[in-house]
Amino acid sequence: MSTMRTVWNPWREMSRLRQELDHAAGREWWPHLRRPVAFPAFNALESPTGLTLTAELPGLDASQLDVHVDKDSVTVSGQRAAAPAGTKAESYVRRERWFEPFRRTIELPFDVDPEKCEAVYEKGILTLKLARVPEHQPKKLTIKAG
Amino acid sequence: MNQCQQPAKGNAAEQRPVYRPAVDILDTPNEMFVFADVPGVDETHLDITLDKNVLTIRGTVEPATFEAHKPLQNEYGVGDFERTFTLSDDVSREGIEASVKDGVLQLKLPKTAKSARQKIHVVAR
Repeated sequence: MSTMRTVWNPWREMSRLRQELDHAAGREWWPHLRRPVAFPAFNALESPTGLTLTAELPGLDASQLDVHVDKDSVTVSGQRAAAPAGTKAESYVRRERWFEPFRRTIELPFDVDPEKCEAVYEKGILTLKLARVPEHQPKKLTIKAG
Repeated sequence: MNQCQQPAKGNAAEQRPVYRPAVDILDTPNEMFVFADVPGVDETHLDITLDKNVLTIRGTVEPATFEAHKPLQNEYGVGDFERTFTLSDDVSREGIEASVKDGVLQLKLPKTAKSARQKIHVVAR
């Protein structure tokens, strides 16, 4: 009887399936986030007092961009103009840039104070500076020696 | 991966990744336009060179730093942008204009006079 080398590994298939489902369900960076990886992509940085989100959104006007901050979520939406007015569709030789309207809501892992939040759009990068509510800021515990 | 970026070309000698920006190219009767998404680049960080018939656009980005912040999650990478184009004979080597606004580079490349689309007038006999 000849020994057959198994090229197809069913366990690998199952773990690959699980990885693909995880990916489709959205990254698990914040437990309550259950969406496919969406547009625009955000980078997030946290500090004891706040959260800063950045996204690359070139070519927008402040008037075409909407940022809503709730105490536990942020929604960014907008659209940019496709081409200089009067451009005919058939004049495109190459079209790689996006123009569809976008909308993305990010649920935050802690509460923020909408009154103290700030949004800046510069050089095509949107920066959101969110302030954590004091109750949700990390507290340092003093350790009692006993 | 961010929609503005295509896979990094990478340059082993540099620390920062180099991305290939997404572009739209328009062909109109008298000019060609190139729009490139280069978020984070302003006019002082842009380098456009024309060497024979190869046009290279290169933008450098200084990543923003935030004091006392730790990265929580990165969905996109920050790096420089570079892309090259080979110009056809239709495009004039003079008079190329470049401007950048809100992270979008616009290049206007006038066409040579003889290749500008000509409208031929029809006369009734």
